[in-house]
Amino acid sequence: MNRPVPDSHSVRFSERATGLASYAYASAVTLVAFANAFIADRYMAIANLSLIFLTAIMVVAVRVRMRVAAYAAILCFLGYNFFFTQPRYTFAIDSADDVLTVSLFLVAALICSRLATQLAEKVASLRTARASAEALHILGKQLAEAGDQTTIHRVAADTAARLLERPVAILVRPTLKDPWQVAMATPSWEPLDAHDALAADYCDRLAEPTGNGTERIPAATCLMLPMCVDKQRQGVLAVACPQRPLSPEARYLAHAMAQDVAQALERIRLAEALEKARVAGETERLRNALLSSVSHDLRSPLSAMIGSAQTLSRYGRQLPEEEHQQLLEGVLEEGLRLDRYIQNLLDMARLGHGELPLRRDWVDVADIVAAAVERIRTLFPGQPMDTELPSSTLLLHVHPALIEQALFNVLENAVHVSPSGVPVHLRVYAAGARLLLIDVSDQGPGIAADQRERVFDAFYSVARGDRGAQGTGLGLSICRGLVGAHGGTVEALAATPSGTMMRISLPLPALPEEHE
Amino acid sequence: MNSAAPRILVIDDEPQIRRFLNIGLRAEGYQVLEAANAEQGLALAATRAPDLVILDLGLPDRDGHDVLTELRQWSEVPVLVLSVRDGEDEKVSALDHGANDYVTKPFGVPELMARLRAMLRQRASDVHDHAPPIYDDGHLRIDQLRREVSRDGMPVSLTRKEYTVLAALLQHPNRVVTQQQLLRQIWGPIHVQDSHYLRIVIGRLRQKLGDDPASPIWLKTETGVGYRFLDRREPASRSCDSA
Repeated sequence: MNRPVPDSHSVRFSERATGLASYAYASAVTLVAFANAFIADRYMAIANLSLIFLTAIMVVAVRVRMRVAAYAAILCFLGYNFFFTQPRYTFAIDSADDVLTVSLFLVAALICSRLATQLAEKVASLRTARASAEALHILGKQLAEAGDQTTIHRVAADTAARLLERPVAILVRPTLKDPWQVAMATPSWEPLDAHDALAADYCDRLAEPTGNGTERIPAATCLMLPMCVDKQRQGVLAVACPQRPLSPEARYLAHAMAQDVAQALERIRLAEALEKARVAGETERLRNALLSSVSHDLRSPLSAMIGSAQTLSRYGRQLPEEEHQQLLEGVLEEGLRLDRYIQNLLDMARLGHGELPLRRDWVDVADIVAAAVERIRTLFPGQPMDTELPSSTLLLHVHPALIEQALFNVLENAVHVSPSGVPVHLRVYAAGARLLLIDVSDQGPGIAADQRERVFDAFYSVARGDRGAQGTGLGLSICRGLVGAHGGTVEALAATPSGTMMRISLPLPALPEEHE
Repeated sequence: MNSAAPRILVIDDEPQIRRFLNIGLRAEGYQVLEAANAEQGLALAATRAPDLVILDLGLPDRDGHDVLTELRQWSEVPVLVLSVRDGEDEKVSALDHGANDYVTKPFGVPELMARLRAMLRQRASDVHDHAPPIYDDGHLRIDQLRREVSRDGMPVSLTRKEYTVLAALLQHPNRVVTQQQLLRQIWGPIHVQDSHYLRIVIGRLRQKLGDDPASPIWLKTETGVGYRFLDRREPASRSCDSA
């Protein structure tokens, strides 16, 4: 099986010597101590030999468990008694002094071994805690940068596999009835066997670690860790343990990691739910705005049309030719106005769905400008227009009809606020290699600086209601929506010497290679 | 114009639209046939041999594209399609199915009448000669035999691609040629999506011919659909050339 390549980040757990090996080690150290004691015996008092043994016991105790340390202490006590106290080579002791020395030695040896093992354990656990904290810190940092579920899964599997030096998989199931699926695995993953699947099931249901190395389903080859926060089940983190179970410390670390991952997943889930709720609220507000717009923008041209037509039909014969013509032109104008409003409403409804299908095509910006200007000319034959186009062909990659509509809305707005006979200025130019600017300036009354952003607000336009009787209604907010959908922006600026300059900025894409 | 007034068949399910078209067309001196659905329309087209068909794509009984396809199996009659705005795909598809032109709903009556006149004229000249070898409107002169173009007497040097695009548009004066058609014909079938090639060539053509993209004299863009070569010759000179 591929094992992840350990690197500087992997965490080493100091594994304490256990079993026969540690007894052998204790015996060996004790033997060396005796050898030293036999040599020292020639020069030193018996009482002082105990220092040699105590040193040996300490050396043993820092490396082994308490039980083994005690074994070394008793071994030394017996040997001390047997070899060095009078009479030698018996366990009997002659002098009361020696009895005291040996007894005190035993007490001191036991206390020393206990203290030394405790100290060693503390150091080891501190080292482990630091390693775990470091590992969790690394994981946390990477999770914080992950913005979606798949990235979190990948980061979790990669980091856990590297830190634990075991293959790791993220298991998920869409509903409780579905089988477990491997959402992400590092480095490779065998299909789950029956034990593993059962362990994953229990793990998810109880929100506790199960499987290899635990009391539940120990026959499983994997250790299963719940990714569960606030009863939100986010799946199971599986750690493959093909040869030997994880140490308790590593298991604890893995469990903490699983919880961190669950928290990150929950964060994403909440953010998505929040975004959904926000969009729903926005859509609701938009719907209301549309409804009020329908009642105003559509009804007023309709009433004018119905009224004019009725007047004509009833009094037509007795009216002079001139008034006849006026009423007819009224019907025509209002009909055209209605058509524009309907177009705006359709665009708005599409924008409101948030799923405007962009059918992008390469298009010469001059063509878009020409089409929008042409429509304005037809609608307002008396309005002078002053158009400044770039000298070379500039190509946009956009949905042509939508950008044309956006520009048309801005132009229509400019015509509405312009004093009659004063030209609307339209300038199209590239700002650098990657940005196209379309500036539409009018010499109308202008917009106060603090109101400039609000003219793009659909709710603001509607709130003005009947006061904006000849306005475009939702025109500017639709323009912003359409341009925004293409990655561009629309802003209202002050024009010189007076009036407003609407600036549409659109990205100019790099052209694909042309080979003629 | 012939002594017998041209017969125009209107296929539209909206009685209000049929009514004003009928009034307007008769006022222009045409004879009018009306059909409220596809079945009626096809029957009239077969039995009364109209000179032109105005077809609404949104019919109650059948899809307008089907009607076009069927009509094209046995008739070459010019067809003008009525379609809604934003329906670029629909327009392109109708043109590819054999429609000769389209008008967007809601349409202006003057625009519609102008298109009808152009289509009927085109039909008359088609009878004489398919493509007149020399186009000359007094400013722009295109000699298709020598492949020479001049503007106000000054020769204009065009690349091979530029000339081919211009000639392809000139083949169908005043009619829309879809961008797919141009790309397929000139760049080959695999470049049908590479519309930027065409945009750049048209841009250069306009520059070399001195055509204003904001209000074009000759090369008019039909946004999202294709291009139209606007024939600027006096009606009289047209017949001279084609004779």
